[in-house]
Amino acid sequence: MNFKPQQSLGILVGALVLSSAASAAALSPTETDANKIMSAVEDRDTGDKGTARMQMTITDSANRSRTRVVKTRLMKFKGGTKQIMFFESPADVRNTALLSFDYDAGGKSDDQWLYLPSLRKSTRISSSDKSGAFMGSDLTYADMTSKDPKDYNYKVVKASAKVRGEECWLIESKPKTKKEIRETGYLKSLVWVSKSKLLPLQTKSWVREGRKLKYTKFGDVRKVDGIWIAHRIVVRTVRGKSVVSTTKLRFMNYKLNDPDVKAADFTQRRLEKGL
Amino acid sequence: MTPIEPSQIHATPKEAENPFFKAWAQVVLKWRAMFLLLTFGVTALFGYHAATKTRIDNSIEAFASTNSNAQDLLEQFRDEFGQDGFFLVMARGDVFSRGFLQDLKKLHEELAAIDMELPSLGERKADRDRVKAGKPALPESAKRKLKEATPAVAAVAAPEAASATTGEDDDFAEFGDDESAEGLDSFGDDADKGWGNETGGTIIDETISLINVRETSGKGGTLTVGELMDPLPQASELAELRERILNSDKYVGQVVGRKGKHAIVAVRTQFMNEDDSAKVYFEILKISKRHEKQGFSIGVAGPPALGAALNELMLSDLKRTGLIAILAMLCALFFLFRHPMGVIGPLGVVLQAAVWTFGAMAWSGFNVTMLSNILPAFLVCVGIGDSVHLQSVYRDARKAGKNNHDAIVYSVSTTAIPVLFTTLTTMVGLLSFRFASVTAISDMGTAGAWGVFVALVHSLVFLPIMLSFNKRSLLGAQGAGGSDALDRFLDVTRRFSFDEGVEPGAPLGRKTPRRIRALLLVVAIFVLAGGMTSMLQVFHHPITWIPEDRAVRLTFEELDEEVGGTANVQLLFEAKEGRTIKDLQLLKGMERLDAHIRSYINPKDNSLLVGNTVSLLDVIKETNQALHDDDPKFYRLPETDRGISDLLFMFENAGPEQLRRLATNDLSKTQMSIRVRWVDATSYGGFTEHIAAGIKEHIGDRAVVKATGAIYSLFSVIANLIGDLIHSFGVAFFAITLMMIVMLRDVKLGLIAMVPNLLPIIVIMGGMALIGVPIDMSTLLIGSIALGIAVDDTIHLLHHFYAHYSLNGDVEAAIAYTFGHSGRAMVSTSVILCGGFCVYMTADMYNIGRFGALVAATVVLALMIDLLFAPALLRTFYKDRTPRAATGEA
Repeated sequence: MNFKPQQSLGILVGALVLSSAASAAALSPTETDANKIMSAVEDRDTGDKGTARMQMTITDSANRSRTRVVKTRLMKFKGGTKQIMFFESPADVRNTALLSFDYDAGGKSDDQWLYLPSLRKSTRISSSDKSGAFMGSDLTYADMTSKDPKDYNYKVVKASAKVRGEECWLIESKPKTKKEIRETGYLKSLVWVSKSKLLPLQTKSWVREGRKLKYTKFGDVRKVDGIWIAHRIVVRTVRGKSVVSTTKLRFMNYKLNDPDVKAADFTQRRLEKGL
Repeated sequence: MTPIEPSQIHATPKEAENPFFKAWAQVVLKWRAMFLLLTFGVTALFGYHAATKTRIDNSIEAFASTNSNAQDLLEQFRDEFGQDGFFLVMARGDVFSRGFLQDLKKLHEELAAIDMELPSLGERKADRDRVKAGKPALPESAKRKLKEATPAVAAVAAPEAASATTGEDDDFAEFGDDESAEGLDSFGDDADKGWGNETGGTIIDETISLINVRETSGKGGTLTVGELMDPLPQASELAELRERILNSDKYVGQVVGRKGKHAIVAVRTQFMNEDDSAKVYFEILKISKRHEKQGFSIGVAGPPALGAALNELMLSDLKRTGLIAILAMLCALFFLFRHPMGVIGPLGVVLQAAVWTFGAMAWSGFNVTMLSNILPAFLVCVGIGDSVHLQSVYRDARKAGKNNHDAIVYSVSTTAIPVLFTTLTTMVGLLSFRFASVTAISDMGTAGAWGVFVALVHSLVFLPIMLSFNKRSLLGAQGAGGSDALDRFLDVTRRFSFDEGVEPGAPLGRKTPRRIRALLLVVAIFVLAGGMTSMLQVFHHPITWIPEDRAVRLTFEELDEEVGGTANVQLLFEAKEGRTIKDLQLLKGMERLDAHIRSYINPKDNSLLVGNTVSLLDVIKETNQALHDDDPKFYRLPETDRGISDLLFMFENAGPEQLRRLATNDLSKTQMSIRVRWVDATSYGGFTEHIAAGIKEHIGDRAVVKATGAIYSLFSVIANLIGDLIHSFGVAFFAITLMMIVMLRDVKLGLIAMVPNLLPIIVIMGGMALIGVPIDMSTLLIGSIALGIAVDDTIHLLHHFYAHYSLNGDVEAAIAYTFGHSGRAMVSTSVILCGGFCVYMTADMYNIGRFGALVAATVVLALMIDLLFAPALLRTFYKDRTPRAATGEA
């Protein structure tokens, strides 16, 4: 997947999409330079902090669903983003919490700590595989990590494409290196970028392992504090003609630049004590 | 009364012509151009289907019994956890050396990157079978609509979240609620359709070896879930690593052999059909060949490799046996008819019968299996049998002075009825396999029956047309009155039960007549051979079909010996309604069950059958240990349900893909994979009982446990093989007895006929028991097929006997006439059949070779029993009477 969808997903999972109308306006709808378009999307003001609640429902090929509700806080810091998630439901994961530091520098692995109530302590988790699924969903850790656009080649496939009646650029994004492919798991992506909101409205990604395709739709795009935010994301992984699984995300109670969010919220102590 | 002399036997045929077939022959000859065009047209159509749609399937499932639910359970397992069969690529050498590990890494990476254009990628065999059975292609589970996630769960815990799902953004077009990959309309034409032409993907779902096998550790307060050899260990670390790995159940039997001399790369592909699986197999072989070097030799095994290897062997056998059978047939025909015209017709009959048969199989979705291997040569035998009978009569008619047209019409009108009868009985023999519980056997029976019928049609259409082009040749007819070695042989057999001066059916005198002695001999053979059949053993071990020196068989055997098994058992645990498998008591039960299963000793070789097991228990225990600073004391289950839940949560976060392979998304089901040595399927009987007892004892009603996997499929065959044999043979026997009575229009004669029909089969079965040839997938076929073939001789013999006896009332004259009319053809067809089935002995696959030898022996026995004992029966149960014509009965 190219940088844009991951960025969007990552931010959305963290309940923060802080795009500015000003940057969208800075780009002409007739623009045909893919790099400029993607840079404009990337350069949006994504804010510093925020809170939200997220409901994630994962449905497998046999139509079995599992829903989790998470309260999340996110804050940017120099060199990356910190995020803390508290699981509210279902009962068997209630009070479990996850703290993660996502570093902008590509070479540095993310840090994660998990608090498990039965152990009454948090444990640091290390996993180098970013192409792995986030909490068993159709999203990978790479989807939620910002990527450097310099690592990708972009091409405008179609200067005018419609998604749900909305005018979009259709852009192809390809990783420049095998390393990037290995790390993200994607060979290529197509991204439909809304010309008016500078947000991706849908993506299609080619998953290297197992020749799977991943389709993502961003919906219920509404303004929060003057900023366009997708309140709903659906990701479907498909192989051949079979659906492998579907993940639906719904975001609620967005608060952007929430003054209650403080640096002290993103510590192991806070992870163990709760908010 | 004196026996008839050979010179009298060669009487010009006087049999009544069948009006229907007389008209038939006349019509065929009149419109021969049209019939010829029609025949060639249909042949071209079937040929096209055979060439483009034939599918070969020699997978384990192709031979599973439908009487068992093993296959259904396996499909349920696949619905939940995907493809269960791995290619197992085994590298031999000093595993714990830096050079070996570097080579292994390269091999691993290349295998993991296999990318091929495969038309059937993602296609489930189960779906194809469903379509074939006229059912929807998608499994029941997938047919349900993908609904909105039920908000009930969230509503309890988070009312606010639930309220958010109540349609405030109904206008957001999602993927639709269908279950397929459709519903992606909004991606329109802009997105490449499906995968498109993108390169660089891989068709491999998972590749596991020492290089990347999961390593969970908890050093320094950090839980790490990573790959065992990322990065590759330094030379100085290898000794310690070797010690650790070879003492861990987690690695030994999964990715490394017990002695550290074998490393396994397990390659799991997506679902695909057998043709594509074979392509992957050959690609893996090619890659393996490229990586082989001194100290790093490679073999490939695993269930998909077995299927592909069997396909390859089968195709090679099919070509060879088909070619040899045709060559043998050409020689036999030329020897019999001494002119190309005597060869062209029968050759066309058998070739077209084969094309129509394989074309029809492809058309109707029947897979070609190892058992279909017998069809080409079988059809050659049957087709040539029909042709020989017809051409023999044609030749005699030409010799008697009939013109070409009349000779053809005469031969068809007098031969068609017995040929039709023999065809029907052979078809019944084959159709009896419809009652077998193994689909491959059942399909082979249906296809064979169709082929036999088609051979008849060609014999009665194509052959007469070809003969109509013969203007001069008498097809090697002998001069009148001459006799040769075959005549003398027939005379000896005919006299075997002949008593000079004793009227047929006369009361016994003081000296036991020859016919009675012959019958006593029949009874003695019957009792002796029948008694021995009770010692018949059953056997099913597909790997033993492959020659011992083939690499794939050697690899299987080496893997079983050194690594611990290549066959699988899958246990599917389903938590009770509304519960999940995060139940400490259930997991403890699974732990005890695991130990119980591992402890099983195979009584046949007194050694452990199970090489390794993989389950959620491993994940929970190793995560628990890692969370406690890798303290081995904590390699155990936690003490509370919440502890289980937390550990799974932790693992899911670190290794979600691996968790998904072991448990369903909602944790309502989990699985245990048990790797087992590949042995004769009978050995699995005790093991499956052992598993069932363990489930009852250790799991009880805490969960529903379903056991499936390759060994259950294999055992299902064994459990049903004898039943299938009795069932199909029983059906064939009774149907053929009834048909004999109807065809011969005489109950007594119909019943008498079954003695020479049954005796050769009893003798062969008894002989098999005596020399230790077991009943297996191939030998199971012998009874019914041999019955269908043996009946042919009997029908020709008794049909002509009855025709002559009805007219003249003279038993001895009728026997003599019959021997004269049909004896030569019977011997000729039996020799051809015997030769045809001996062709199978050149097959590489052992079971096919055994099958050929046994049927060939049955054919010879059937002929000898017909020639020696049928006259004895007729002389005993029939007596001379006034000719029907004289009493007005005719």
